[in-house]
Amino acid sequence: MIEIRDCTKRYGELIAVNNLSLSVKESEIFGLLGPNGAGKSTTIKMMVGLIKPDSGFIKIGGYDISLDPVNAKRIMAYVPEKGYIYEKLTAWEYLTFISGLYGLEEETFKKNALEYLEIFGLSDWKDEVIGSFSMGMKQRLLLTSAFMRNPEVIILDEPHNGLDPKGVKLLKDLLFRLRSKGTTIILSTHIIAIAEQICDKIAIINRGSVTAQGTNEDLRQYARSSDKNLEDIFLRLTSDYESPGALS
Amino acid sequence: MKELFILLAPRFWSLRNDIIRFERSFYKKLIFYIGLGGIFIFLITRLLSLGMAKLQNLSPDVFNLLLVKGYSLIFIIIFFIQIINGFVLALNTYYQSRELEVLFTSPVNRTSLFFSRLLETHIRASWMLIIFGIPLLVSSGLLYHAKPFYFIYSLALFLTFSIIPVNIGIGAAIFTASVFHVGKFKKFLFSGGIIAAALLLTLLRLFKPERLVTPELFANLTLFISELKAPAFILLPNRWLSEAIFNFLGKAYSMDTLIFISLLFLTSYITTVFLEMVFRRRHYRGWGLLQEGGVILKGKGPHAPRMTRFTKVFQRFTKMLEAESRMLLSKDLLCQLRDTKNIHQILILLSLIIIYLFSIASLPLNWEGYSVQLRYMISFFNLGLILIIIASLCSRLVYRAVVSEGSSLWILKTSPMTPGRYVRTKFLFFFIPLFIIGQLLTISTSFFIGIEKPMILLKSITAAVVTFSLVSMSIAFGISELRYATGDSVRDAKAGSAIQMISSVSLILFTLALEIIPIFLYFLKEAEKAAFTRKAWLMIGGVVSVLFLANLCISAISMHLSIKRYEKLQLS
Repeated sequence: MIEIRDCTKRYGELIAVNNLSLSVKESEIFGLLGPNGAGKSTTIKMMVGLIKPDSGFIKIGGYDISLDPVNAKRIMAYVPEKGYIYEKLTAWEYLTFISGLYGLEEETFKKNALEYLEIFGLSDWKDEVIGSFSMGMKQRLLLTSAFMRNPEVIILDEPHNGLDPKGVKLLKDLLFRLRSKGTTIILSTHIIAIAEQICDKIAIINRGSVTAQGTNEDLRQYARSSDKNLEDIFLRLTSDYESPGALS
Repeated sequence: MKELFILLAPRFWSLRNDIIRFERSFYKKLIFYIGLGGIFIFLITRLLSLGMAKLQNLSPDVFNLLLVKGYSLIFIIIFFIQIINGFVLALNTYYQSRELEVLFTSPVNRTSLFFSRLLETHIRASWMLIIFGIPLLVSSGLLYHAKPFYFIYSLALFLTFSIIPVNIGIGAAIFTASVFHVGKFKKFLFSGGIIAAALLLTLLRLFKPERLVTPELFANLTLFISELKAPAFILLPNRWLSEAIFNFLGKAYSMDTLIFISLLFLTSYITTVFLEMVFRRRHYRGWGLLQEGGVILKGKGPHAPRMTRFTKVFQRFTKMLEAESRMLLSKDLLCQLRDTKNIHQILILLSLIIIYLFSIASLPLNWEGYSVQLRYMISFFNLGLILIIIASLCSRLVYRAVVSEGSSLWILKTSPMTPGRYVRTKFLFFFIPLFIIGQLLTISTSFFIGIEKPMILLKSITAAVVTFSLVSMSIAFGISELRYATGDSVRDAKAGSAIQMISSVSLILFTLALEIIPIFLYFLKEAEKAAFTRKAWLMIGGVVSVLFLANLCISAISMHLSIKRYEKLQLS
């Protein structure tokens, strides 16, 4: 469903993403795990068309994001880490705007929007301007706007930021539900426990490259480790980053 | 007392750090304000001294009376301005300052907290005293050749005087904040102020102040001022201050002088004590009110909101557009209308348009022998002014709106909306209202000036094509400054705004240079009461064609560049 091939992105001298290749199958929850500044957000921004790779290509559902951005964007939804939303619009106006941008049928939009507003506990707030929302509420509205479209691909950049424990649990359940319906999900996170619980496959990114990718078991084998949890594998694979040795 | 010092310490430490660490921005600001303030104070002092010396030479008896009355009047104006100043500042220092959360949750005595905030409010309100107080006190001291002690004495009295209105302002703010939400009230105050200013300006113009400028009235000006009932009620602090100062300067000390000085000090002390009581009783309530979150006003239950009349009208008018464009237009309209800054700008603009139309309508154009000349000259400059108004609107509204999209641009960039559609929709959104404003101004002012219909048509076409170019240029400049920023992207893009305005003015000058030809030809035709020759028609046709082609090229290039730039835009 998603294919990233030999992608590189430079900012002057700095190589943010270095020859990165990934492939994500349909109905899969794929996690991008890595330390701060590893290149996760740059990879995601290239996938959703916010920045263009200097070399390589990215295909979403068979559409090249650089060559056929309109069709690629039509089938995916993106939730950024800190997404600014139009603060002067009400929640419902914002959702109406998004439905128009993605060409949703009015009936489908109303049904789905109301359903997800209810799920995320925003029903009573739908006629309030977004400027009065808390950070968590804005995040839940962003998730509503993404999920209500029933996209084939959902890309989430640190989606748990700003959510309370109830929200985190809710999101986890929703992601499982969407996966069972055939949606492909990519999420970046730095919370190892979440990646371990939610993701079918994980790619560990460090210094702009994929250090390892696969299931939990694959990663364990790759690291030639008997460690039981992902945290130890992660630290082993990104050992140049704040390694225990360096701390001692 | 120790707590008070602790509470004030961060301010002093910040200032000290800025000074000893040679913070460039701090020094820049310091030099700018000291330089500007110094020049202003010097100029005002000099002007006041010269004016007072002249008046003294004219009539020394009337002068003394005028001086006391004049100062009394200025002091009462300062008194009321300081009340408003104290009120607005207190809303910030006592409620909205970010450090308050830390301070209010610390185990500090509330009295210390009150006095630390009070001192800060007074220091922040002191710019009025420096800017207006120093010139007043210094110029009167120089006039009476006062000794150095006078300056210390008058400054001390002036500071004491200032404490009273600022305290009244703070008290009113604390009381108001205990009833209304501070944030909302501040917005209401700001909007109210803008509306009042716009209304006042319009009314003043409609009142035709030029009627009052009759030279005969000036002869009695001195008499008028001497008869003026300046607020000099014995219980008003401005009377106490002016009497205390001028009794000192005129060396006419009496028991009254001592009473006035005592009254100033006593009243400032009493207002401070009283204010502390108000703070104790009312402040916590206001602070609590500010901490409350938003209230759900409507929309209970999971049902879709009903379609408003606005939505229905909007949908009817935009039916022919694609859903994506319609939604972008709807979003832009709602965001622009709900932005109070835009509302204020629109109000000021409306007021200026009314004033402009009224001024054009009241122009005395029936001067014998010069009537035709005057009509066409004014018509020419009128076109330039209308185009400048459109250019300013493009800079304030179009450019600003495009640049401010930066922080939410990820929504559009990740959507299937094509760059072409984005640019075209933005163009449509801004062009239609600006086109209507341009045409209304052109046609109505041409009607007031009284030029012929073909000239009105020419001006109307010119205004339309230039508006087309100006809007597309503003969008192109706006998109070239688009950045994915969470801060104030509009403030960061001020350089781009200046370039956009320079380019717009260049286009207007080019247009006006072309328009001289047909306007001059028409003027000749009218003055000589002759018909146009074929050559004249050709020249007018040529000018219109060049105008069309030039603006078409500018618009096409601007739109093309906008689309390309949007396409290449990377939001890293």
